[in-house]
Amino acid sequence: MQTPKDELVLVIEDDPGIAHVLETILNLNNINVIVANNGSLGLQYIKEKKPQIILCDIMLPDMLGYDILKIVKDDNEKYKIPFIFLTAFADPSDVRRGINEGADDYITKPFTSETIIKAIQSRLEIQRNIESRRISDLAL
Amino acid sequence: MDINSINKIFDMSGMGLLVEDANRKIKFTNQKFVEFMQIDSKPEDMVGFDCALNAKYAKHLFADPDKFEFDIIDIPKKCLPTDEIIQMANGTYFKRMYSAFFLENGSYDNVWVYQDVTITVEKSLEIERQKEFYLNILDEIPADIAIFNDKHKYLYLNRIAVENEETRNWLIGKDDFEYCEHKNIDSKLANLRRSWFNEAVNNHKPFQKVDEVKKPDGTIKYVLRIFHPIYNKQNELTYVVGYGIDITDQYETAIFIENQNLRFKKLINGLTDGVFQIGVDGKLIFYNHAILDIIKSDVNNLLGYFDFKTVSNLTNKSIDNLYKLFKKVAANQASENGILAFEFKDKSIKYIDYYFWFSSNPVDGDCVIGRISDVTLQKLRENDLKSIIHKEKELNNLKSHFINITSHELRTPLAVIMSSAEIIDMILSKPNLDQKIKPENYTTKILAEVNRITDILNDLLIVGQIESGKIKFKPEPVNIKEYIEKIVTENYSTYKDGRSIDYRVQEDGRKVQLDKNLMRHVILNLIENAFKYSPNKPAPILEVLQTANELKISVKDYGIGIPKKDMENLFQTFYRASNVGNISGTGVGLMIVEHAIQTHNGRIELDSKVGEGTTITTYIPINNVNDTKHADTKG
Repeated sequence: MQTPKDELVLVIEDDPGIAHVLETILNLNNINVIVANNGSLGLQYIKEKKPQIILCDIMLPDMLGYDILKIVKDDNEKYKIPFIFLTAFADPSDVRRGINEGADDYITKPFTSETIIKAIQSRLEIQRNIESRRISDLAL
Repeated sequence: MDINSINKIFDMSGMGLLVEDANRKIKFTNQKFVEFMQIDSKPEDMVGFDCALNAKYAKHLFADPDKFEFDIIDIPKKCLPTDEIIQMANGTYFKRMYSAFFLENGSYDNVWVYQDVTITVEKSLEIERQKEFYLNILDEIPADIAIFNDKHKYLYLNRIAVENEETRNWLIGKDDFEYCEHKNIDSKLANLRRSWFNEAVNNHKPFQKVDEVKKPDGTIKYVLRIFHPIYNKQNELTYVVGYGIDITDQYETAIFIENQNLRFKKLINGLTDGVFQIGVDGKLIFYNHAILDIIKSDVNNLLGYFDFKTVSNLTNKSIDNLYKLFKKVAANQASENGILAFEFKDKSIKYIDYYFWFSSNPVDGDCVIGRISDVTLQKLRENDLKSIIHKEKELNNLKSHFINITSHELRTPLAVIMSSAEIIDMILSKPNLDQKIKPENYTTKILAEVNRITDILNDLLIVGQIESGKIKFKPEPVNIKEYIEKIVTENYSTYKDGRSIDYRVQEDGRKVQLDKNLMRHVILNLIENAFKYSPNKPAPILEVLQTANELKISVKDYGIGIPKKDMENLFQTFYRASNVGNISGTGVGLMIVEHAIQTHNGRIELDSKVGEGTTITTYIPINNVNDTKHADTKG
């Protein structure tokens, strides 16, 4: 399934190597990407660029991924942006925490491009369904 | 002298006189005689009377009338002088003397003299009674009693000394040698007793000794023998009283107690624990030898003065602590236990396990009994064990840290490698892709990330080597300028965030003796830290300065700085400052730096302010330069 070019993925990742390969992989899969290399820039992009999905690292130079998740959740209580953690914290307790905090998915490094793409696409699919239901609800 | 005069003399002397002829007719008598015989006649009227007849009339006056009558008839028949005491019926005593007085005509007169000796007899009887009384007592005393003359001959023996009366009587006037000969026994006994007798006599004082006597049944009886010399006013030996008391029971008890005491002493002195008893006045009542060792005393006998200050080599502080405990135990009448550190004047320390308790008994009164043991060795072993356990724990922590770090720190570069490989794969499988995406960009990335992993693994490897003491120091002469430039350009021409290090090297051309590998870790770690902890700040500055004696390497950054509380532990394995936030890191870099610098006999200076930046400067002495060329020119 192809993702329409107008859907934007925000990658919040301080490691330039990761950010770069993610950008390339997503681009190669026709996914628009915007990269923020720290938390505050990420929050700024969420506001300004209104991404359809967020891929976020946990350890960021200025804040934790959990903090960004909380802000996103508080701002979009009803129609939230899908939020996926992408992190080197691979301990089951870390994964549990990420999910408990409200993340939609939790991907540990290293990852395959397939994992990333599938995670993004399935979230976007769900999001599109919710959106269309919302519109039909409104029409009713 | 006429008969009247004689009569008077007899009257005066209180004697009764009766003279009769051979036919028993009274020839003469005096006033005293008629009084004695209670004859109601004048003496001169008695002349011519029959004496034997008279005896019949007078016999009732005597205690034994028949004997009197018989004697009066019988004695003159024998014509032999007699002298005897006669008891009268009224309890008085008379001395009666008889003598035949031969006349010129061949005939003879019987002369009888009577004298009242009641007082004398009663006195002698009294003496006799007293003697018997005392002898009875002496016989009843349960002790051998003998009295010797100055030649050690028996004057008296009581019944306990010699039961057989015949032997007892035989012994009077004899000595022990004669006794041994008489009994046909070894004179050893006699010799022994003679020596004791002489001891007493020569020393003018009683001598006593315990005598072992073998009884007929084979058992031993212990007799305490005492020879007691008695001297007269002229200090001449009059006699020696010897007495022996059977003390078998007491002696056996004493021996038993003595043995018990000996056993107890051996036991208590064989202990390595110190045991003592101290009065509430602070004076030592009892102690065992181990005490002397434990308190390192030079004194052999502590009894009576338990002043630790003079008898031990303990410091005053330790002594005060000990006394405080004694006082506490005595005041509370309770017990105290625990471990004390005994500090000695020679600065050594002993750890003492103690147990002090209050005791009160009729002999010693209130006191404190104590048991102390030197547990220094155990304490040291315990410390060793604790340190081993601590080390084990540290190693265990190290292990889990290692696992955490490898899993966390390696995941990011692995992710980049994996993705880069996939991208290359995609490029190759889709030749019509965007020309901007070039495979070589990703092979470079893979190599860079492999290097990053290698660096992390190398750091961990070095830590492992350092921790296990396996790291080798291989110094070699190094040209500083070339060495530093190579490291910096290879690794930090541009940091991953685009900044470039600002570096200056000032050297004098002399080569410096360095372990290149170790120093590479030092420089890379310092620069890496400086970049890592100063995001969005001016680039760090590396300054290398070679002076006459030192090589100074300093890295200055304008980053987050190090809180004061963290500085002390900063060089420990895996320790990271509290303000690192989300900046990743293994926490081993500075530990490696410190170890490498210490291996070079150098030192590290840390200057940092939170929010302003950090400067870490290392100094390595260069007097160990092995470059002879420079050493010569210098010289």
